[in-house]
Amino acid sequence: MTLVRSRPVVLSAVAVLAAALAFALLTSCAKKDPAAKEHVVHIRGMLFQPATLQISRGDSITWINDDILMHAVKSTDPKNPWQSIDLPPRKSWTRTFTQGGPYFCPYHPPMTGEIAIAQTKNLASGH
Amino acid sequence: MKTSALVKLSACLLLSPFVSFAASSAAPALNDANIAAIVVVANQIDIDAGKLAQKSASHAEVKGLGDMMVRDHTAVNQQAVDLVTKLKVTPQDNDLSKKLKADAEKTYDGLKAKKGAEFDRAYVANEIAYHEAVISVVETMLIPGAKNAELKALLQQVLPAFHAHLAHAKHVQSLLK
Repeated sequence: MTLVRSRPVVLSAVAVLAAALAFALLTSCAKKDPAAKEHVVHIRGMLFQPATLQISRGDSITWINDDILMHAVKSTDPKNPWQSIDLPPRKSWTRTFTQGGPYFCPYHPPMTGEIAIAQTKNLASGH
Repeated sequence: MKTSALVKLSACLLLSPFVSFAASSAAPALNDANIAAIVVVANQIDIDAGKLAQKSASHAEVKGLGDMMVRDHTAVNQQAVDLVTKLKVTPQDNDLSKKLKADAEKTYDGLKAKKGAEFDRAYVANEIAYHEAVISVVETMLIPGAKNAELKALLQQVLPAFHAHLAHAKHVQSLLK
């Protein structure tokens, strides 16, 4: 008796979950700019490589710690504050950028980098 | 060159005439177990000094330098220990590691006796001299002497961090003047 009653409940739950998943997928796909690029900055030898990265608005950057020490990345612009999680060796962190600016490693302040947003493409793409 | 590196390391680290050890003898041949011991001791010396700076420094940038040294040299030591454990190499004390350990205690005591701005200046000056000497020893003795490829690679990976520490210590020193 209990089994008979629970089958529709389970089916309904599966249907709801499937719908939610489909919605989430559609939403995320819809938000993602197909022209957005993914860039990589390697942290290696106590340097950000490349130190200056030219991107377009909406592009994402992944920092990969190839060093043997803990690092992190943090904006130096108080008007555009952001900070990564701690990045132990071999860990990575990704963020999408709509603004450029300088950044540094809070654990090693002499390590600095710069994100430059290309203006020409932004104007052309209407962003 | 090797003897010169030892002289520099002893002269800056030890504040005692260990120079005679290096100057009067040919640089000792080091095996990987000896090199592992030197790496562990050299890192531990700077960890201890860094912890002292965390407690005793009066300038925020000097405290920050101490934080950096404790964090980074602890990480390097952990990786060195992990590596020698994996390689089944037991760090083997040698004349240099023993002398470093013994004389570093004198340096530590000298720093501990200082307070405030005097401590800040002495600690940062010691960090600069220490890193210059360690970089020289790593480049001229430890990397060329390491037989195991992974140990050699670890030493090569450590060098940029030591150079960055040196540059930062010099920057902090400029703020104290």
